[in-house]
Amino acid sequence: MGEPAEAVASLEGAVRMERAVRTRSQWYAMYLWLFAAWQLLLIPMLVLWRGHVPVAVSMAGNAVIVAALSLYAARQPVVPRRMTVRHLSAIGGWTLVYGLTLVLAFIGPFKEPGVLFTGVAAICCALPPALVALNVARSGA
Amino acid sequence: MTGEKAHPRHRLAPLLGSPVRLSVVAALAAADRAEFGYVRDLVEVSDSVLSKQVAALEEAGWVTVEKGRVGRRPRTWLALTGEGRAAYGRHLDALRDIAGPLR
Repeated sequence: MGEPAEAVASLEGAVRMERAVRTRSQWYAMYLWLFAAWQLLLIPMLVLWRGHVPVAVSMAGNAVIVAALSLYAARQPVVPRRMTVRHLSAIGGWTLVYGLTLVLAFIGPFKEPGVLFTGVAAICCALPPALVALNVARSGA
Repeated sequence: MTGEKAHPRHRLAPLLGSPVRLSVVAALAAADRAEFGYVRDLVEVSDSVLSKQVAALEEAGWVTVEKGRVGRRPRTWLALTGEGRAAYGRHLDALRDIAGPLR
């Protein structure tokens, strides 16, 4: 095999390895999609279903989901590229919107929040993880 | 650099001349870090072969090895250093130049 052909074979091998790892890194997009989907259930439960018992049930459900997602993440053999920055963006953005939702729904002007407020809040809470998931999927991790 | 040394082959990293080492570095370049067992299965080598190749890369300062645990399960993580990533990039550039129109 000539030198250029050997170089092509080496390049192809390297690309194959990188692609396999990027595909395996897609677990992180799945993690974020699940977290985003959970917001569409959590926020309506928390905002519309008032009382101590519903709040306790929502919080317990949240704890179970977050624990399950953390376990799922801990079992993965690959940590995707720039995961720290991406995760900080997703969780940081979610924390801000989630905190604002709670303030508006329980303390602020929407003390009796309707379906519209709840729907918008749920979508806004799902947005930060969903946007990062899209970014991860597009970049191939 | 003289005219004789201008050929892109002179820019190849000798350490990446081994197909196994190149595969390991390529795999690690696509992640922040990867588990030893996963890289072993991906590259299709034995534990001892991968350990030997990783030791050579670690000695060059291109790869870091970190041991940890998830629950009771021990895990060894491999990661490419900044220096390793830069060397891999230069090596790929040289390979592309050698491949030329065949690429």
